[in-house]
Amino acid sequence: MRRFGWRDAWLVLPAVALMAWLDWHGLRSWFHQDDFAWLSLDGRVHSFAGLLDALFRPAAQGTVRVFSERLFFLGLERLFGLDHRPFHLVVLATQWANLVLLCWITLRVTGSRLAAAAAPVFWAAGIGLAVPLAWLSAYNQILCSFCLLAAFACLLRWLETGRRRWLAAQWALLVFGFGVLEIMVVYPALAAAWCWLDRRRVPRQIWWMWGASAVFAAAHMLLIPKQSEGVYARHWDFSMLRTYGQYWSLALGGNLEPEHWPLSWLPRRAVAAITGMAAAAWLALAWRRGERLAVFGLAWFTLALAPVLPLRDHVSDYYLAAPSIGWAWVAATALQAAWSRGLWLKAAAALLLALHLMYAGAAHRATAEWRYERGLEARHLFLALERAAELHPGRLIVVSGIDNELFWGAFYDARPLLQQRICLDPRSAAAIQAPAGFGHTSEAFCAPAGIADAARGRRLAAYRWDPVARRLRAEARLYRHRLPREWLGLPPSRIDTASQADAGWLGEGWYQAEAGGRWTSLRAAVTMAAPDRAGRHLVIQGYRPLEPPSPAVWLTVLVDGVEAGRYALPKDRPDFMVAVPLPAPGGAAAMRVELAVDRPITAPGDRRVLGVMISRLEYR
Amino acid sequence: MRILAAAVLMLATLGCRQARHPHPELTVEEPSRLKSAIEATNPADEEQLLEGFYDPDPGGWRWTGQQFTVSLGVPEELRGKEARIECELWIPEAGWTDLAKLTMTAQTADRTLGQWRAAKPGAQTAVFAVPAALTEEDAILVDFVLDRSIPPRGEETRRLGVVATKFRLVAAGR
Repeated sequence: MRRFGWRDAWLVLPAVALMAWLDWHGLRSWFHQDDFAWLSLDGRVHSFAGLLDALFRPAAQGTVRVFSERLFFLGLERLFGLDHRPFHLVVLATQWANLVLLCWITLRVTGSRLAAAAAPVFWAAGIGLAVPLAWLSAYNQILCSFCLLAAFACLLRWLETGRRRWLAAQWALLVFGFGVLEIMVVYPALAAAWCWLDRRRVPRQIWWMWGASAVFAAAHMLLIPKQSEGVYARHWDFSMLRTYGQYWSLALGGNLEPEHWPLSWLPRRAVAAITGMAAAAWLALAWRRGERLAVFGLAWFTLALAPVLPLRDHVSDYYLAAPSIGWAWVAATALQAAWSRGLWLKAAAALLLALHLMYAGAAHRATAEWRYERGLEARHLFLALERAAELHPGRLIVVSGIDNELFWGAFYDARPLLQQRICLDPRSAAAIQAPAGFGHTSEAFCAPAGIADAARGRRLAAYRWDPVARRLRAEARLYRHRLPREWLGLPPSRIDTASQADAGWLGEGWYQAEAGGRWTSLRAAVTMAAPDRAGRHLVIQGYRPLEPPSPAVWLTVLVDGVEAGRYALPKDRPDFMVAVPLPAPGGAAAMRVELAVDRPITAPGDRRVLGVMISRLEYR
Repeated sequence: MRILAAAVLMLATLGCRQARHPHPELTVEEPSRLKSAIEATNPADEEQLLEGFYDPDPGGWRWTGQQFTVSLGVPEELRGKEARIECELWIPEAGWTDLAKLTMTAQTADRTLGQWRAAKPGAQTAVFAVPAALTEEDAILVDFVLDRSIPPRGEETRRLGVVATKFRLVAAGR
């Protein structure tokens, strides 16, 4: 085994230079898509319990990636706010470490400087790294690659020296990796595969790691609900073989559309097929010659990809990030082997691999630039919305002109980060398609009754997104002018009980308005606009003084005579807010909401039968 | 180890949450005060030509579509009073075969202000009465709808209405 010294550091430089060129834009992408959901975690942390919830509550298809998503976003957002650069610096530093580790491992196992320099280049050029280097939510792929490579490097050192600290380091990386990305469970299989290839036996200590992975996998499957439909549904059948083939095709030939192929006459699938056949021939030869790293490369690619193969309907290029390390070893060892043969073999290998690099690199760069553009658009929209909220405090801000891509790229997830209620014009709902199994997007759309309320109360601000100038153009006057007249006749979707303007919608069971709201008796009724779409919630804000220790007070909410929810009022604070799921619209313009409290409260000198003080009812 | 320490130190020095900067350039706000008289070819009045206007032609005129909308400011002295909207327009001779006896209807969000009929080609002024109820706010938005238009023909791919020149909101008795 050849040692990696400082003099060998230059071996990483070609890959670093290639990465700089391919990911120049990607590494400067602004936040987009899921990034906003992770950034909004900080707003939920107000206590230690809130921190635990933010760190460990399953999210995004039931995952709990504590280090690569939760702490990564929480920590950096707290330190730097919405500055994307420190986030990318962390990504970049991790990826540099990955390239050095890959170089170190390759040199150590093959003893070839050519292979050690080539492996990081093949990996860096691949399509698998384009998204993780550009999209911060996919940092888990980079950090998981680090865990896998570092653990494998520790394995090599452990096998070489027998020192327990290298085994301990593997364990530490394995356990840490469970909090990075689920595919870390395959590490024991990778370690076992290498031990078998290297020594034809698997040490007992490696089998213990299988136990840890099995426990993690079992806990993950049992404790965290999985989607049974939609793109994240798992299909444990022969389709996994086809998916495996699709990933090989992506890894070898990229994913570009015909108009972007580097050689217009040579389809990407042909490049994948030619490179794939050459790789298969090399692997057969490598197996006979005992070229461990080449064969291990195939095992790595397959095992690291295995956990995502059941996701038949969600073949994603970035799932190739860690598996592509295996391909890099196959390609680098092939190049090394060819280089020690005659000129023709050298030329053939160089030509084939150059073809692969051309197609993979072009796809990589195009993907990175697409992400950069999405980030740029998201940045403009987010900052414009933030500016609009700043200019119109307390108003309802209605936005039009957002297309499906920008909705999912920025608008939907960015809303919780804004200080104010901003929603889309409900007439634009047809342009937005929710992915299968996603559920409702209702909260992102204003209700017609809410818009009418705001227009009547002069609390309406309206903007239209200009996709060319990437700006929001105010159009409140025109928007009010074009408001459908039938909307203006709707009952309100928000009732401020103390407001005289809303008093006409209150039914029986209400007392006189007071500062901050209005007391109900044991039962009170109000008429509001019926929900315009499924998935709406009626948010009720109120107050009831705390009483000496006694059973909880129950608030029951009925909608059109049917119980919609029953809630125990908090016993540790007097104010409360409940969100009652509303039934799907049934065609009526109005609904009757009744509030019932199970026992009264008495105040000294006040002979009224009091239920709760309600300040506002509003559906969202 | 030294490299790690240096990196941590560098990160710590950077670790100050930057103040957020406003981005006024990312929103284009509506003018707070609107003019009560505007010219269709004056770039300064562009924001009050809300919909239905083509870009100005090199010859210095500006075509409308079959429907167009303008906003006009209501000056303080006209608030709550009856007024009228004057729309200066021009119908070219060449388009008269398509636009003969053209009727233009002016309407706000929920009421029709009136109709005007073109008797001849050339420059003319359409006048519409505005009731006092519509001048209580600081602005009035008016949709103009034409019952005829010049269809796309030859190299001209646009559906043309009239050549609009000026819009004014003035006192009723003026």
